[in-house]
Amino acid sequence: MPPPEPETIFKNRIVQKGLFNLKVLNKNITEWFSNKKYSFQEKTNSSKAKDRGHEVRIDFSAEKKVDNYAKYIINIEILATELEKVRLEDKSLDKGNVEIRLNANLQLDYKNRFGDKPFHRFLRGLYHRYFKGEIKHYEDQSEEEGKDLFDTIKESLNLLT
Amino acid sequence: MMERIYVTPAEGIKVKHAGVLDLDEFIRWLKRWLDFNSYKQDEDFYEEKNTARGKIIEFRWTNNKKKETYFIYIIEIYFNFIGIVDVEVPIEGKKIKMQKGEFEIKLVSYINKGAEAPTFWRAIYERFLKKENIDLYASELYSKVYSLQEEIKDKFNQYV
Repeated sequence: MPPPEPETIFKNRIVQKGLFNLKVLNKNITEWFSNKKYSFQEKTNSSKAKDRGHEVRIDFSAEKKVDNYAKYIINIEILATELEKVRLEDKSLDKGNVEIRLNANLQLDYKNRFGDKPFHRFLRGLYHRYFKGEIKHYEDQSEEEGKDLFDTIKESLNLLT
Repeated sequence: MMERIYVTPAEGIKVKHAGVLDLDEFIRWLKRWLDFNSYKQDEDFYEEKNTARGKIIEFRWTNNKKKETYFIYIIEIYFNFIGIVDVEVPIEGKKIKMQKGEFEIKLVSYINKGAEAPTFWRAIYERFLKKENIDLYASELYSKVYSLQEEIKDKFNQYV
């Protein structure tokens, strides 16, 4: 039986048109995952040469087991289109459009210890109500990490806000 | 029954490339990589179709490496190539035959646990003797598969 579905705690999206550095962005995301002790995968890396530049799609999936009950899951989708390499002051940059979607999720009872039967679900609900403070702590932490990564992405793209 | 500890998502990790590739050289390189890393290869199926828009080629390799009696590393590689046509590419004054089309490689990797041990002894073994080793092996295989993905990206000359 599968464990309960993860709940989305934080999601956001960035769209940028202009100059950026995809390699740096990629590196900063993977470094962030490593520093925060997430195990991560680059689930898809797709590159297509099109008439109007390259189209690149990269999907990351990362998770961190907080303890035996809660797990943080972060998914990132990057879609860059009309890409071309340009040189600016001896730096290699990418010119084009990029859209990044990030969602941070919290999965409780990922080992499915309570089970799937209605009574077990009721017990899980009761447990969550009783330990409201702990659950809130997981949610806050998951949101904080999602926002922190989102800020890292914005910094990598040199965005102002 | 053998249990699986996945080090990639069960649905796998993908590298896709649309463009030109020296397919023969790529396959030779991949076989060398597997040999060098001591993986035994099995081709599970191979299918090739000719269409008006080039060849469709699909095949799968299951590569295994016995880590020790109870643990086998598995890397499944799914090849899915669409619209493949031969093209000649000028490289250093010579025309080299290559292939153009859409190339997709999917890697699914896991540890097969308890290959030759009965359930009861396997449980004892894992609980008291091998817990740390399991984590170590999972981490080792994860790193290896991740480095293979990076090398495939290099070979595909991916944009990022």
